[in-house]
Amino acid sequence: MPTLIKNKWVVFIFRVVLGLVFLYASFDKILDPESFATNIQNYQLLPYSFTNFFAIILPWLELYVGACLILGVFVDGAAFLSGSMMLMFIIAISQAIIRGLDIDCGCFKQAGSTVGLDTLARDIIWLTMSILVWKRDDKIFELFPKSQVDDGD
Amino acid sequence: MNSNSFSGQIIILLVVSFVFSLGFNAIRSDGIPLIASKQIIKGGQSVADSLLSESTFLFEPIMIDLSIAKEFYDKDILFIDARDEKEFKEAHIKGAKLAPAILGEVLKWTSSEYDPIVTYCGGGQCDLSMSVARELMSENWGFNRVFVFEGGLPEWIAAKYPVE
Repeated sequence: MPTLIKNKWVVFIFRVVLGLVFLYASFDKILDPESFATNIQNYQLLPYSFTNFFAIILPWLELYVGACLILGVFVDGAAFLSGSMMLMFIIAISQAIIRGLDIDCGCFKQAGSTVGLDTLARDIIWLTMSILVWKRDDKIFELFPKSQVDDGD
Repeated sequence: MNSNSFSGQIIILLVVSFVFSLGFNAIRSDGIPLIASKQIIKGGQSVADSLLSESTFLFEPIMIDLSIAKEFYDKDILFIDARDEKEFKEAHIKGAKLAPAILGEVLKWTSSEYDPIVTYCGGGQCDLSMSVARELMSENWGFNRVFVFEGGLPEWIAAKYPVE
C-alpha cells in the first residue's frame, strides 16, 4: 500500500474531511426529517413503515459520527460507523442505478443531486477514507481515548 | 462497559444517537411518526361522492385507492399523469393529461380551483404524483381538491380499466 495514504497527517486530514462531510450531511436532514423519509422511500429498499424511523435516527448518527471524527473522540467506533454508513449508501445507490430509479440522492440538501455514478464514486472514496482512518497506525489529536503523544518514530 | 473498547464506542454512539434523535423528534413540533403509514382513502361510490361534495376542502392532497379512482374517472374528473412525456406516450389512463411543465396550464382544463383533480404516476413508491398534487394545491395554483391515485398506472392496467 502506498505509504502516503497511510501517513498520519494524510489520515488525519481524511478524518476531518469525513467529519465535515457527515456534519454537513446531517443538518438538512435533521431540520426536515419528512423530506429525508421521502428520499429513503424513493430508494424502494426498506419496508415503507421503517422509513420514518430510519429518517429520524440516521441524521443524528451522522451528526455524532461527524463530531467525533473532528474532535477525535471514539475515533475507532466513529470511523467504523462512518464506513458502515458509506457501505449502506453504496448498496442503496447501486441498486437504484441498476433498477434505473431516477431519484434524488438525499445525500446532502433536499432536492440536491440525483443518484448516479458520480454519487456512487464519491461514496466509494469516502468509504476508503473511513477504512484508512479506522485502520490507522498513528493516533494523533485524539481527545478520548487519548492519543499517544509520540510513538517515538 | 469499557468506553475505550471498540465495541463499547460503537454501542455508545448508537445509543446516544437513538436517545437524542427519538427524544428530539418527540418534543419538536414538526416531528414525524415513528412508523410511516400511507393513509389511503378506500371505499366505493359513497366515499367518492363525499370526497367530491362541495363542502370537502382539503389542506393537502389525499391518497385514494383504485375503486375511488374509478368512481372519479366515471364522473369525468380530470386525471393528470405526473410521469414524463416518454412514459406518457407509451401508455396512460385514457383521457388523462400529461402534467404540463408549468402546472398553471392545468387551468386550461378546469373551470375553477374548486374542480377536483386526480394525479397518478407509476404506482408503488413513485412520488411524482404527490409532488404534482402538492404543487397544484400550493398557493401558486390554489386547487383545493387534489387526489393522488396511489396505485397509479400499473394498478389501473391490472384492473383492465381503459388506457391509451
